[in-house]
Amino acid sequence: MSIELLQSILPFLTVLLMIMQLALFFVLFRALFSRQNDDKPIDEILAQTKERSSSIIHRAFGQANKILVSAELEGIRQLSQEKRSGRELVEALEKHLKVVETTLQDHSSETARKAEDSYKAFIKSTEQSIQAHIEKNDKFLTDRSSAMTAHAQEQLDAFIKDVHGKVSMEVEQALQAARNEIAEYKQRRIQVLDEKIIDVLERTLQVALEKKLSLVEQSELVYKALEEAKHENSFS
Amino acid sequence: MTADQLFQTILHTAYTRSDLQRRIRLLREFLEKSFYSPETTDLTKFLLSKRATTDDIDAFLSWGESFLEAFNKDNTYKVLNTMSEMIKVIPVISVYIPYEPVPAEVVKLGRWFRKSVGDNILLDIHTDPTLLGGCAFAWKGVYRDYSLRYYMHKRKEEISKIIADYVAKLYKD
Repeated sequence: MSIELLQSILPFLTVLLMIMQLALFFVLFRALFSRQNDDKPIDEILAQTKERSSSIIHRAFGQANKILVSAELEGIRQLSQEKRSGRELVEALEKHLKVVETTLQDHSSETARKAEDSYKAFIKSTEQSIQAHIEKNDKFLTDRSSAMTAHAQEQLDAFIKDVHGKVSMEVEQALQAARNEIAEYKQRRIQVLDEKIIDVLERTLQVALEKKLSLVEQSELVYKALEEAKHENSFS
Repeated sequence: MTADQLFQTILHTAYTRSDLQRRIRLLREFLEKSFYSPETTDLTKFLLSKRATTDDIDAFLSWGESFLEAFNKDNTYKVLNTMSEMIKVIPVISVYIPYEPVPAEVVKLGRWFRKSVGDNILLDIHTDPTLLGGCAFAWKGVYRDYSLRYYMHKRKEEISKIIADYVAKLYKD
Protein backbone atom coordinates (compact mmCIF):
# COMPACT_ATOMS: atom_id res chain seq x y z
CA MET A 1 0.00 0.00 0.00
CA SER A 2 2.97 2.44 0.69
CA ILE A 3 4.26 1.92 -2.81
CA GLU A 4 0.90 2.83 -4.20
CA LEU A 5 0.88 5.88 -1.99
CA LEU A 6 4.32 7.01 -3.14
CA GLN A 7 3.29 6.44 -6.68
CA SER A 8 0.32 8.68 -6.15
CA ILE A 9 2.36 11.51 -4.56
CA LEU A 10 5.35 11.19 -6.84
CA PRO A 11 4.09 13.78 -9.38
CA PHE A 12 3.63 16.32 -6.63
CA LEU A 13 7.16 15.75 -5.37
CA THR A 14 8.57 16.09 -8.83
CA VAL A 15 6.77 19.39 -9.41
CA LEU A 16 7.96 20.59 -6.05
CA LEU A 17 11.60 19.77 -6.78
CA MET A 18 11.40 21.52 -10.12
CA ILE A 19 10.00 24.61 -8.43
CA MET A 20 12.79 24.47 -5.92
CA GLN A 21 15.44 24.19 -8.58
CA LEU A 22 13.92 27.08 -10.54
CA ALA A 23 13.91 29.12 -7.41
CA LEU A 24 17.54 28.28 -6.74
CA PHE A 25 18.54 29.22 -10.26
CA PHE A 26 16.63 32.46 -9.96
CA VAL A 27 18.37 33.35 -6.70
CA LEU A 28 21.81 32.55 -8.16
CA PHE A 29 21.15 34.59 -11.27
CA ARG A 30 19.91 37.56 -9.33
CA ALA A 31 22.85 37.37 -6.99
CA LEU A 32 25.29 37.43 -9.95
CA PHE A 33 23.39 40.17 -11.65
CA SER A 34 23.22 42.23 -8.43
CA ARG A 35 27.00 41.88 -7.89
CA GLN A 36 27.77 43.28 -11.24
CA ASN A 37 25.49 46.13 -10.57
CA ASP A 38 25.93 46.73 -6.87
CA ASP A 39 29.45 45.60 -6.38
CA LYS A 40 28.50 44.23 -3.02
CA PRO A 41 30.89 41.90 -1.29
CA ILE A 42 30.53 38.31 -2.54
CA ASP A 43 30.44 36.78 0.90
CA GLU A 44 27.54 38.93 1.78
CA ILE A 45 25.74 38.04 -1.33
CA LEU A 46 26.47 34.44 -0.87
CA ALA A 47 25.30 34.55 2.67
CA GLN A 48 22.09 36.27 1.61
CA THR A 49 21.58 33.87 -1.10
CA LYS A 50 22.27 31.00 1.15
CA GLU A 51 19.93 32.34 3.65
CA ARG A 52 17.26 32.93 1.14
CA SER A 53 17.80 29.57 -0.44
CA SER A 54 17.77 27.92 2.94
CA SER A 55 14.62 29.75 3.65
CA ILE A 56 13.18 28.67 0.40
CA ILE A 57 14.35 25.12 0.94
CA HIS A 58 13.05 25.20 4.45
CA ARG A 59 9.71 26.39 3.22
CA ALA A 60 9.85 23.93 0.48
CA PHE A 61 10.57 21.18 2.95
CA GLY A 62 7.80 22.44 5.05
CA GLN A 63 5.44 22.47 2.16
CA ALA A 64 6.79 19.11 1.17
CA ASN A 65 6.19 17.74 4.65
CA LYS A 66 2.75 19.13 4.56
CA ILE A 67 2.17 17.58 1.25
CA LEU A 68 3.64 14.34 2.49
CA VAL A 69 1.57 14.33 5.61
CA SER A 70 -1.43 15.23 3.60
CA ALA A 71 -0.54 12.54 1.17
CA GLU A 72 0.04 10.02 3.94
CA LEU A 73 -3.23 10.97 5.52
CA GLU A 74 -4.94 10.74 2.21
CA GLY A 75 -3.14 7.43 1.70
CA ILE A 76 -4.20 6.15 5.07
CA ARG A 77 -7.70 7.31 4.43
CA GLN A 78 -7.66 5.71 1.06
CA LEU A 79 -6.01 2.67 2.57
CA SER A 80 -8.67 2.35 5.19
CA GLN A 81 -11.23 2.87 2.51
CA GLU A 82 -9.48 0.37 0.38
CA LYS A 83 -9.28 -2.03 3.33
CA ARG A 84 -12.96 -1.55 3.91
CA SER A 85 -13.58 -1.88 0.23
CA GLY A 86 -11.32 -5.00 0.20
CA ARG A 87 -13.41 -6.65 2.87
CA GLU A 88 -16.51 -5.72 1.05
CA LEU A 89 -14.86 -6.89 -2.07
CA VAL A 90 -13.84 -10.14 -0.37
CA GLU A 91 -17.33 -10.54 0.96
CA ALA A 92 -18.75 -9.67 -2.42
CA LEU A 93 -16.22 -11.89 -3.99
CA GLU A 94 -17.02 -14.67 -1.57
CA LYS A 95 -20.66 -14.06 -2.16
CA HIS A 96 -20.05 -13.92 -5.83
CA LEU A 97 -17.84 -16.95 -5.58
CA LYS A 98 -20.59 -18.74 -3.72
CA VAL A 99 -23.01 -17.67 -6.37
CA VAL A 100 -20.49 -18.75 -8.97
CA GLU A 101 -19.88 -21.94 -7.04
CA THR A 102 -23.58 -22.56 -6.75
CA THR A 103 -24.00 -21.68 -10.36
CA LEU A 104 -21.06 -23.84 -11.26
CA GLN A 105 -22.43 -26.65 -9.11
CA ASP A 106 -25.80 -26.22 -10.69
CA HIS A 107 -24.21 -25.95 -14.06
CA SER A 108 -21.99 -28.94 -13.34
CA SER A 109 -24.95 -30.89 -12.06
CA GLU A 110 -26.91 -29.85 -15.10
CA THR A 111 -23.96 -30.62 -17.32
CA ALA A 112 -23.42 -33.93 -15.55
CA ARG A 113 -27.08 -34.70 -15.82
CA LYS A 114 -27.09 -33.70 -19.47
CA ALA A 115 -23.88 -35.65 -19.97
CA GLU A 116 -25.41 -38.62 -18.21
CA ASP A 117 -28.58 -38.26 -20.22
CA SER A 118 -26.54 -37.85 -23.34
CA TYR A 119 -24.37 -40.78 -22.34
CA LYS A 120 -27.44 -42.87 -21.57
CA ALA A 121 -28.94 -41.83 -24.87
CA PHE A 122 -25.66 -42.61 -26.58
CA ILE A 123 -25.46 -45.99 -24.79
CA LYS A 124 -29.06 -46.71 -25.69
CA SER A 125 -28.46 -45.63 -29.24
CA THR A 126 -25.27 -47.65 -29.32
CA GLU A 127 -27.05 -50.65 -27.85
CA GLN A 128 -29.81 -50.29 -30.39
CA SER A 129 -27.25 -49.89 -33.14
CA ILE A 130 -25.27 -52.89 -31.89
CA GLN A 131 -28.46 -54.88 -31.47
CA ALA A 132 -29.53 -53.91 -34.96
CA HIS A 133 -26.09 -54.75 -36.25
CA ILE A 134 -26.12 -58.07 -34.39
CA GLU A 135 -29.58 -58.85 -35.72
CA LYS A 136 -28.45 -57.85 -39.18
CA ASN A 137 -25.36 -60.02 -38.81
CA ASP A 138 -27.47 -62.86 -37.44
CA LYS A 139 -29.82 -62.54 -40.36
CA PHE A 140 -26.92 -62.30 -42.76
CA LEU A 141 -25.20 -65.29 -41.17
CA THR A 142 -28.46 -67.21 -41.10
CA ASP A 143 -29.15 -66.40 -44.74
CA ARG A 144 -25.58 -67.11 -45.70
CA SER A 145 -25.41 -70.33 -43.72
CA SER A 146 -28.78 -71.38 -45.16
CA ALA A 147 -27.51 -70.67 -48.65
CA MET A 148 -24.25 -72.47 -47.90
CA THR A 149 -26.12 -75.39 -46.38
CA ALA A 150 -28.42 -75.55 -49.37
CA HIS A 151 -25.46 -75.30 -51.74
CA ALA A 152 -23.54 -77.93 -49.76
CA GLN A 153 -26.61 -80.14 -49.76
CA GLU A 154 -26.90 -79.73 -53.53
CA GLN A 155 -23.21 -80.44 -53.94
CA LEU A 156 -23.47 -83.45 -51.64
CA ASP A 157 -26.53 -84.71 -53.49
CA ALA A 158 -24.77 -84.29 -56.81
CA PHE A 159 -21.64 -85.96 -55.44
CA ILE A 160 -23.64 -88.84 -53.97
CA LYS A 161 -25.54 -89.17 -57.23
CA ASP A 162 -22.30 -89.09 -59.18
CA VAL A 163 -20.62 -91.59 -56.85
CA HIS A 164 -23.74 -93.75 -56.91
CA GLY A 165 -23.73 -93.63 -60.70
CA LYS A 166 -20.05 -94.44 -60.89
CA VAL A 167 -20.30 -97.20 -58.33
CA SER A 168 -23.36 -98.61 -60.05
CA MET A 169 -21.60 -98.45 -63.38
CA GLU A 170 -18.45 -100.06 -61.99
CA VAL A 171 -20.48 -102.71 -60.20
CA GLU A 172 -22.45 -103.32 -63.38
CA GLN A 173 -19.23 -103.49 -65.37
CA ALA A 174 -17.69 -105.83 -62.80
CA LEU A 175 -20.84 -107.97 -62.83
CA GLN A 176 -20.87 -107.98 -66.61
CA ALA A 177 -17.18 -108.89 -66.67
CA ALA A 178 -17.84 -111.63 -64.12
CA ARG A 179 -20.82 -112.86 -66.15
CA ASN A 180 -18.72 -112.82 -69.29
CA GLU A 181 -15.89 -114.59 -67.50
CA ILE A 182 -18.30 -117.18 -66.10
CA ALA A 183 -19.88 -117.65 -69.52
CA GLU A 184 -16.45 -117.92 -71.10
CA TYR A 185 -15.33 -120.34 -68.40
CA LYS A 186 -18.53 -122.31 -68.82
CA GLN A 187 -18.00 -122.39 -72.57
CA ARG A 188 -14.38 -123.47 -72.11
CA ARG A 189 -15.40 -126.14 -69.64
CA ILE A 190 -18.11 -127.39 -71.99
CA GLN A 191 -15.58 -127.36 -74.81
CA VAL A 192 -13.06 -129.29 -72.67
CA LEU A 193 -15.77 -131.73 -71.63
CA ASP A 194 -16.83 -132.14 -75.26
CA GLU A 195 -13.21 -132.75 -76.22
CA LYS A 196 -12.84 -135.32 -73.48
CA ILE A 197 -16.12 -137.01 -74.40
CA ILE A 198 -15.06 -137.14 -78.01
CA ASP A 199 -11.65 -138.49 -77.01
CA VAL A 200 -13.34 -141.16 -74.93
CA LEU A 201 -15.68 -141.97 -77.75
CA GLU A 202 -12.84 -141.99 -80.22
CA ARG A 203 -10.77 -144.35 -78.09
CA THR A 204 -13.84 -146.48 -77.54
CA LEU A 205 -14.51 -146.59 -81.26
CA GLN A 206 -10.88 -147.31 -81.98
CA VAL A 207 -10.92 -150.24 -79.60
CA ALA A 208 -14.27 -151.41 -80.94
CA LEU A 209 -13.57 -150.89 -84.65
CA GLU A 210 -9.89 -151.77 -84.89
CA LYS A 211 -10.61 -155.42 -84.96
CA LYS A 212 -13.76 -155.01 -86.99
CA LEU A 213 -12.58 -152.84 -89.95
CA SER A 214 -10.88 -154.69 -92.79
CA LEU A 215 -8.09 -153.15 -94.81
CA VAL A 216 -10.46 -152.65 -97.68
CA GLU A 217 -12.89 -150.83 -95.44
CA GLN A 218 -10.08 -148.76 -93.99
CA SER A 219 -8.86 -147.98 -97.50
CA GLU A 220 -12.34 -146.89 -98.48
CA LEU A 221 -12.48 -144.63 -95.43
CA VAL A 222 -9.08 -143.17 -96.40
CA TYR A 223 -10.31 -142.27 -99.89
CA LYS A 224 -13.53 -140.95 -98.46
CA ALA A 225 -11.45 -138.70 -96.18
CA LEU A 226 -9.28 -137.58 -99.10
CA GLU A 227 -12.35 -136.73 -101.16
CA GLU A 228 -13.66 -134.74 -98.20
CA ALA A 229 -10.35 -132.87 -98.01
CA LYS A 230 -10.44 -132.23 -101.74
CA HIS A 231 -14.01 -131.00 -101.41
CA GLU A 232 -12.87 -128.56 -98.72
CA ASN A 233 -10.02 -127.34 -101.00
CA SER A 234 -7.41 -128.52 -98.50
CA PHE A 235 -4.93 -129.19 -101.32
CA SER A 236 -5.01 -125.74 -102.88
CA MET B 1 15.79 -138.65 -124.90
CA THR B 2 16.60 -135.73 -122.72
CA ALA B 3 17.27 -135.93 -119.00
CA ASP B 4 13.83 -134.46 -118.30
CA GLN B 5 12.12 -137.07 -120.50
CA LEU B 6 14.09 -139.84 -118.79
CA PHE B 7 13.14 -138.47 -115.40
CA GLN B 8 9.47 -138.22 -116.35
CA THR B 9 9.58 -141.88 -117.41
CA ILE B 10 10.87 -142.92 -114.01
CA LEU B 11 8.48 -140.56 -112.19
CA HIS B 12 5.54 -141.99 -114.08
CA THR B 13 6.06 -145.35 -112.33
CA ALA B 14 7.14 -144.03 -108.91
CA TYR B 15 4.66 -142.42 -106.59
CA THR B 16 6.70 -142.07 -103.40
CA ARG B 17 9.91 -140.22 -102.83
CA SER B 18 11.57 -143.37 -101.41
CA ASP B 19 10.61 -145.40 -104.51
CA LEU B 20 11.95 -142.70 -106.81
CA GLN B 21 15.23 -142.34 -104.91
CA ARG B 22 15.66 -146.12 -104.67
CA ARG B 23 15.01 -146.69 -108.39
CA ILE B 24 17.42 -143.94 -109.45
CA ARG B 25 20.03 -145.50 -107.16
CA LEU B 26 19.43 -148.96 -108.72
CA LEU B 27 19.62 -147.40 -112.20
CA ARG B 28 22.97 -145.78 -111.36
CA GLU B 29 24.36 -149.06 -110.08
CA PHE B 30 23.05 -150.96 -113.09
CA LEU B 31 24.52 -148.46 -115.57
CA GLU B 32 27.87 -148.40 -113.78
CA LYS B 33 27.98 -152.18 -113.90
CA SER B 34 26.93 -152.19 -117.56
CA PHE B 35 29.53 -149.66 -118.63
CA TYR B 36 32.44 -150.55 -116.46
CA SER B 37 32.09 -154.32 -115.85
CA PRO B 38 33.51 -156.77 -118.45
CA GLU B 39 30.60 -159.08 -117.84
CA THR B 40 27.28 -158.79 -119.59
CA THR B 41 24.69 -157.61 -117.16
CA ASP B 42 21.08 -158.80 -117.21
CA LEU B 43 18.68 -156.25 -115.78
CA THR B 44 16.31 -158.68 -114.10
CA LYS B 45 19.12 -160.67 -112.57
CA PHE B 46 20.80 -157.49 -111.43
CA LEU B 47 17.59 -156.28 -109.77
CA LEU B 48 17.01 -159.60 -108.14
CA SER B 49 20.59 -159.61 -106.88
CA LYS B 50 19.87 -156.19 -105.34
CA ARG B 51 16.69 -157.55 -103.74
CA ALA B 52 14.54 -155.10 -105.62
CA THR B 53 10.81 -155.42 -105.14
CA THR B 54 8.51 -156.82 -107.74
CA ASP B 55 7.22 -153.33 -108.35
CA ASP B 56 10.75 -152.11 -108.95
CA ILE B 57 11.36 -154.86 -111.48
CA ASP B 58 8.03 -154.18 -113.16
CA ALA B 59 8.87 -150.48 -113.30
CA PHE B 60 12.32 -151.07 -114.83
CA LEU B 61 10.84 -153.43 -117.42
CA SER B 62 8.06 -150.99 -118.26
CA TRP B 63 10.57 -148.26 -119.17
CA GLY B 64 11.60 -150.21 -122.31
CA GLU B 65 14.93 -150.73 -124.07
CA SER B 66 14.98 -147.22 -125.52
CA PHE B 67 15.17 -145.84 -122.00
CA LEU B 68 18.40 -147.70 -121.17
CA GLU B 69 19.86 -147.03 -124.62
CA ALA B 70 19.67 -143.30 -123.94
CA PHE B 71 22.51 -143.67 -121.44
CA ASN B 72 26.17 -143.95 -122.28
CA LYS B 73 29.48 -143.49 -120.53
CA ASP B 74 29.53 -139.80 -121.37
CA ASN B 75 26.08 -138.68 -120.22
CA THR B 76 25.21 -141.14 -117.46
CA TYR B 77 26.50 -139.19 -114.47
CA LYS B 78 25.38 -135.87 -115.88
CA VAL B 79 21.85 -137.17 -116.45
CA LEU B 80 21.72 -138.92 -113.08
CA ASN B 81 22.93 -135.79 -111.29
CA THR B 82 20.30 -133.75 -113.10
CA MET B 83 17.66 -136.23 -111.95
CA SER B 84 18.88 -135.94 -108.35
CA GLU B 85 18.46 -132.17 -108.60
CA MET B 86 14.97 -132.57 -110.09
CA ILE B 87 13.88 -134.73 -107.15
CA LYS B 88 14.66 -131.84 -104.85
CA VAL B 89 12.16 -129.50 -106.50
CA ILE B 90 9.29 -131.94 -106.92
CA PRO B 91 6.42 -131.22 -104.43
CA VAL B 92 6.07 -133.85 -101.74
CA ILE B 93 2.96 -134.46 -99.63
CA SER B 94 3.23 -136.39 -96.37
CA VAL B 95 0.34 -138.80 -96.01
CA TYR B 96 -0.58 -140.53 -92.75
CA ILE B 97 -2.79 -143.65 -92.92
CA PRO B 98 -3.79 -146.06 -90.13
CA TYR B 99 -2.37 -149.19 -91.75
CA GLU B 100 0.75 -150.29 -93.60
CA PRO B 101 -0.08 -149.96 -97.29
CA VAL B 102 0.71 -152.71 -99.75
CA PRO B 103 2.45 -151.65 -102.98
CA ALA B 104 -0.82 -151.71 -104.88
CA GLU B 105 -2.32 -149.40 -102.28
CA VAL B 106 0.63 -147.05 -102.69
CA VAL B 107 0.12 -146.98 -106.45
CA LYS B 108 -3.58 -146.36 -105.97
CA LEU B 109 -2.87 -143.51 -103.55
CA GLY B 110 -0.22 -142.11 -105.89
CA ARG B 111 -2.56 -142.10 -108.84
CA TRP B 112 -5.29 -140.45 -106.78
CA PHE B 113 -2.96 -137.65 -105.67
CA ARG B 114 -1.55 -137.09 -109.17
CA LYS B 115 -5.04 -136.91 -110.52
CA SER B 116 -6.48 -134.76 -107.75
CA VAL B 117 -3.56 -132.57 -106.60
CA GLY B 118 -0.73 -132.44 -109.18
CA ASP B 119 0.87 -134.43 -112.00
CA ASN B 120 4.36 -134.63 -110.58
CA ILE B 121 3.52 -134.89 -106.89
CA LEU B 122 5.38 -137.40 -104.74
CA LEU B 123 4.11 -139.07 -101.58
CA ASP B 124 5.83 -139.54 -98.27
CA ILE B 125 3.68 -142.19 -96.62
CA HIS B 126 3.65 -142.75 -92.83
CA THR B 127 1.68 -145.22 -90.74
CA ASP B 128 -0.34 -143.91 -87.75
CA PRO B 129 -2.79 -146.44 -86.22
CA THR B 130 -4.58 -143.71 -84.27
CA LEU B 131 -5.95 -142.26 -87.50
CA LEU B 132 -8.83 -144.73 -87.51
CA GLY B 133 -11.57 -144.19 -90.06
CA GLY B 134 -9.64 -141.83 -92.32
CA CYS B 135 -6.23 -140.33 -92.89
CA ALA B 136 -4.18 -137.17 -92.41
CA PHE B 137 -1.70 -135.28 -94.53
CA ALA B 138 0.74 -132.39 -94.36
CA TRP B 139 0.69 -130.09 -97.38
CA LYS B 140 2.53 -126.81 -97.77
CA GLY B 141 3.39 -126.79 -94.08
CA VAL B 142 -0.16 -127.41 -92.82
CA TYR B 143 -1.18 -130.67 -91.11
CA ARG B 144 -4.81 -131.72 -91.65
CA ASP B 145 -6.52 -134.58 -89.88
CA TYR B 146 -9.39 -136.30 -91.69
CA SER B 147 -9.64 -139.31 -89.43
CA LEU B 148 -12.54 -140.37 -87.19
CA ARG B 149 -11.42 -137.60 -84.84
CA TYR B 150 -12.11 -135.05 -87.58
CA TYR B 151 -15.57 -136.39 -88.24
CA MET B 152 -16.41 -136.52 -84.58
CA HIS B 153 -15.27 -132.91 -84.15
CA LYS B 154 -17.21 -131.96 -87.22
CA ARG B 155 -20.34 -133.41 -85.67
CA LYS B 156 -19.43 -132.33 -82.16
CA GLU B 157 -22.69 -130.42 -81.61
CA GLU B 158 -24.79 -133.39 -82.64
CA ILE B 159 -22.79 -135.67 -80.36
CA SER B 160 -22.98 -133.18 -77.48
CA LYS B 161 -26.72 -132.91 -77.98
CA ILE B 162 -27.08 -136.68 -77.89
CA ILE B 163 -25.02 -136.79 -74.67
CA ALA B 164 -26.95 -133.87 -73.14
CA ASP B 165 -30.25 -135.51 -73.99
CA TYR B 166 -29.01 -138.73 -72.54
CA VAL B 167 -27.84 -137.04 -69.32
CA ALA B 168 -31.11 -135.13 -69.00
CA LYS B 169 -33.07 -138.30 -69.48
CA LEU B 170 -30.85 -140.03 -66.94
CA TYR B 171 -31.51 -137.34 -64.32
CA LYS B 172 -35.20 -137.30 -65.18
CA ASP B 173 -35.50 -141.02 -64.60
